[in-house]
Amino acid sequence: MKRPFLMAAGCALLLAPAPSPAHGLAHAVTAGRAVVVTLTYDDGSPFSFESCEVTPPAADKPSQVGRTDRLGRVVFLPDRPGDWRVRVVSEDGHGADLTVPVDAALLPAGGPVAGPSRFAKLVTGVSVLFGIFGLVALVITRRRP
Amino acid sequence: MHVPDGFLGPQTYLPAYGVAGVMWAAGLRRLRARLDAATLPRLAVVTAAAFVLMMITVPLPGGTTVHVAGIGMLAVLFGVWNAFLSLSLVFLLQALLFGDGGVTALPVNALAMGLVGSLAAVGAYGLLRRWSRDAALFAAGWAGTVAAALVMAGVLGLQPLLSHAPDGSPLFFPFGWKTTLPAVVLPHLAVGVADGALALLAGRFLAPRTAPAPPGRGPEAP
Repeated sequence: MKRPFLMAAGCALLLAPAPSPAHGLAHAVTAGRAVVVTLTYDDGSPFSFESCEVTPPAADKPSQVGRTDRLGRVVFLPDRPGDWRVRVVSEDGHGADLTVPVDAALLPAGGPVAGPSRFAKLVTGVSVLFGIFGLVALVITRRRP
Repeated sequence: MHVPDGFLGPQTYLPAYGVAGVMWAAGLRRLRARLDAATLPRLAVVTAAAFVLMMITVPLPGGTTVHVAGIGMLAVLFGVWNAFLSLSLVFLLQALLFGDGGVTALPVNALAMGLVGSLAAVGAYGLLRRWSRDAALFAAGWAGTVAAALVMAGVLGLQPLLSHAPDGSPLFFPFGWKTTLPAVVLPHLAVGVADGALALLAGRFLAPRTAPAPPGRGPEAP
């Protein structure tokens, strides 16, 4: 009596469609040319382990989300030319929303880009501030002899 | 604390531009009526000093960096309105010339640090100056920084509630108040100590040798 029942149960188990949690996953290791966006604070310290997302040209949703690496880098391999959007944000409100133009060769258009140095910012900012206050002083002294 | 472009939605920055525009106009009217040629060079020097100090960042454990802003220093020396206009000018230059802080975020940066921070600084100074002028100066620097950080954390944490996609994902700044309040305010409790020391030094060595001005006025006449 038991054998036919056990055989039927075994067949049912074999035939029943069941979701499997462990599909095989192939992998391949290749070399590729990536776009590297490096983010640092003004003092040069890296913008490490902060949230980032990369959105392809004319796309609504990011193609890559994650965190910057230890050196504050976002690395992505563009698959089409155009303006890629790189957004990085820290919990305390630091961050940037950048547009990275990628050319037909899938490389950053125009080559490496770097912002002004801290010293250049300092000299420019102080000069402009004194210039503006000087203009205000000129206006005030003209109006009030 | 300089919020960049892309972090605040139009529901935030458009009304903020309206409020800040009214405040800038009111401040400029007061400036034209009250500012004299003798105060102007001092204001220029202290504003430039605040700009330079904002560029000196100090890394904190956890990866973030902080800097003093000189809010209390400017507010105590020159009053709320002059501090608000001076800091707004600094933020405008930083946004336009260097991309430090966004153009869309400019009014929020100006209102939080320039206006609320200056009001808190002058308020703290007014409360404590009869007890101890030095303590009042220190408290002004600390309160200005912490109040500005509180406002900034509040505005940032509001963004996921104001602007999100149909699936609920945030369109602008992604973290809510549970994250922004500790992340923004706690470091600035420490930064406030440095800003307090700065306001104390400025009040003792840079203020004109006259009685301290009533809160909100600033010692505009030397």
